[in-house]
Amino acid sequence: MSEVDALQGCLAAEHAAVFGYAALGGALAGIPDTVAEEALAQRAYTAHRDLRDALDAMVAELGAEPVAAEAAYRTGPTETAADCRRLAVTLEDATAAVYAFAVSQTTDETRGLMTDALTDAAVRAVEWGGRPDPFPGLG
Amino acid sequence: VLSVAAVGGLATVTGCGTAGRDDGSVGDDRSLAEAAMGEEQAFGVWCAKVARRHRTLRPDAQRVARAQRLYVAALADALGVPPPTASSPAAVPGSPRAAARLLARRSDALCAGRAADALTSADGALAQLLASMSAGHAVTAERWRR
Repeated sequence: MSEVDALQGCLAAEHAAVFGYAALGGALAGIPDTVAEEALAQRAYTAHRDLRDALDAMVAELGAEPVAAEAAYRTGPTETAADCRRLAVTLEDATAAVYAFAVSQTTDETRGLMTDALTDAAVRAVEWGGRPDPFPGLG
Repeated sequence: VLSVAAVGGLATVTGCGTAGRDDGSVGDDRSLAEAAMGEEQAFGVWCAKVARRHRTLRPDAQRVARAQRLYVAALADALGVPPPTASSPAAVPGSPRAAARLLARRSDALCAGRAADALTSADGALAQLLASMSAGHAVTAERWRR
């Protein structure tokens, strides 16, 4: 697998994360007493949207056509705050996995970006109540 | 319609090759991994000391010490050597709060150290392991700051 393929995998995961957090934000707005979760979701949405845009530009710079988002993704239930937290952990774990893999396929500055993105995803997963994993992204 | 969780899997199951600079820097990777293993091992021993000294911190400090043993084992496995002898000269603060703060600071330092190692590693698989360890330390630091 090439660097561009790994970056395309990250971009695909970020498309799903942006979709997932948009859905999650909407769901949380209708659930009482979730101010903290809404703030966390907004922060995570922004982070994933910025990563998506950065990856899109990186893939294009490498001469490839950036992978497009799917029309929709299955998110699972988002009826309760616990549902939303589970979805958020799933989103962060999924993105951590692709970034960990991308670290192995990239070098230099790009690898640094992948490492930072992996770290941010791992920290967010735990902020959402995910179980700490000694090896984020490799589990 | 893809599930949000499946998207990441698609990218990771299709190959596990590694990017390497292929510049003959294998020796550098070896010394880098050996140094990292020593630091991880020393921190693990120190966390075990924290767990022994401060009952209130014990469960969490033991959890970190266990993770450290996994890191040392993973690096030893990557190097094909036995784990080093346990030792940690660093003292444990007498106050639990100070010990917790120091644990978070040491985790931050290890996070930065492993991230830098990941960046300079010539071997992609080793870089992946080091980056994951860096992320693990970031999570530890975050939890201990709370």
